[in-house]
Amino acid sequence: MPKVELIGLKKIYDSGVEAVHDFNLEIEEGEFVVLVGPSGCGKTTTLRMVAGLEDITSGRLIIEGKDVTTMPPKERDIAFVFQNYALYSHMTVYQNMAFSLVLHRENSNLIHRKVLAAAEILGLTDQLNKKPKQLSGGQRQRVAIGRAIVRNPKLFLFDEPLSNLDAKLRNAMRRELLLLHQKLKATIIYVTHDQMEALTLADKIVCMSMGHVQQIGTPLELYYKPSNLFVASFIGLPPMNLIDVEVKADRIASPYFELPLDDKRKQLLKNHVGKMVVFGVRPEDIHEHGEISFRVTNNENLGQSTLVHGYLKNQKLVCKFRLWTNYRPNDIIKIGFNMDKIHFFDKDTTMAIR
Amino acid sequence: MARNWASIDKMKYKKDSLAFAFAVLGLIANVVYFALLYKNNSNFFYSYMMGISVIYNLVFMLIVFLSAEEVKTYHRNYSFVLFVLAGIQFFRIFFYPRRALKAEVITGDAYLRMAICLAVSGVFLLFAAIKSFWSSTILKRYLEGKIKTSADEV
Repeated sequence: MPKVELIGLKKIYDSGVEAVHDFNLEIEEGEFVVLVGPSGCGKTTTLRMVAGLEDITSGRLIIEGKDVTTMPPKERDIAFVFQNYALYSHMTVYQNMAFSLVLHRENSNLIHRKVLAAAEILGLTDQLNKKPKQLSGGQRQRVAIGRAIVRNPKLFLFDEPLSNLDAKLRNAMRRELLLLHQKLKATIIYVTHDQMEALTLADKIVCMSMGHVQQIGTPLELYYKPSNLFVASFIGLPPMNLIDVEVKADRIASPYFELPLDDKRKQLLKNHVGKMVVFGVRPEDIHEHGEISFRVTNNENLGQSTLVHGYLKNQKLVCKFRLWTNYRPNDIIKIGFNMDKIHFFDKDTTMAIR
Repeated sequence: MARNWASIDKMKYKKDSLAFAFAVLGLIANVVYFALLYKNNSNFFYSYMMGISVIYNLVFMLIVFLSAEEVKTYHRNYSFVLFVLAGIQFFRIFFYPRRALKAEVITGDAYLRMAICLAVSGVFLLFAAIKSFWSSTILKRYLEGKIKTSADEV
């Protein structure tokens, strides 16, 4: 039995705006599920519906086999970690972490043990007597997480917890979250608009757009087998290059290049011969020393690799080369595509052609 | 028998609110005494002694408050200060109110009210002193490793 089931969840606000449309998801015990998508796609609304902070317009929410759709938040046994930490500034770290347990009138010795155990896990033991304003952003977020941990809830909900941190701290906290999940083996639903967070943290990613679920799968599935154009363009940094091409009997043709199709691809595209499809290739699947002319506009040297931006005639393209390159603007280089890693999408339905 | 580890260890992170509360109650009782003292409409007190009395009471209350803040964080030395302050409160009963009653410048009722205020203040300060002395001693000995706790037996 799944730990959490979201069955046909729908959220329509009083204004008539449909924020979430028919959301279905099954989450197993100990699974780390990340809801990812651009701002306004409905991921936070979904999370808030799970927490009970938003009413569910229709659909059902099941936690550990119990229907909690209409249950008040305090009875759901869920911990919510907010983006802005939501710590009590007049309380010490210890008091912040103990607060929910004090409200539940738990034994003070037991509270102490739980707080110390959580502080040990989060590396906050030396900070317990400090006030939140004396802590760094990362430490504050750890306190917020600690406050959730001490309750030992059925489900952890994280709403963009790393968004307020600088890039370096965010990377560090991301690793800590991953280690924390391995230690606690907790069931987590995590919302972010940062695809790097989604790809590195998740056991399962739910990619959303405009209130609709676009794809549910493992990070690798979303990266290597995007189900539609949205997922292909959203997941990956820089995003996948998408070019309109015409399918011919034995090749694909565009104003910029023509590529022969092997038997497997011919079979794949047999129903699209004579039609336009979208050809997709990730920047890292483009290599130098090919046969297609590419005009460089600029380089972005990232240390381990170089992003080379430019044009195939008037089609914008980004390449990611492993080596450090120093092409100059308007240099013409020859590139090629790794044909094992290319993707095709139906131009009308935007769905992947498989 | 070993003491419960958590019950002592949590003192590192929690304030001694009870000792603080006792000390503040002692302070409040003194404030009431202070108000009753100057409420008496008698010339007995209208002398240079009045200024000294006002300054004394203000300084006394300031020291009580500072001691209350310190015992909240288990500063044992301030529990001794509270012992002394409690003693002073009991002693004061036999100073002004008693002398004023003997001089017949206050009534028996007024004397009783003022004496009760000082006694109550003294009792609360004594409680605060005992509580803070007890807690801070336990914490000090625990931090020095001189108390055996249940965690040591595990």
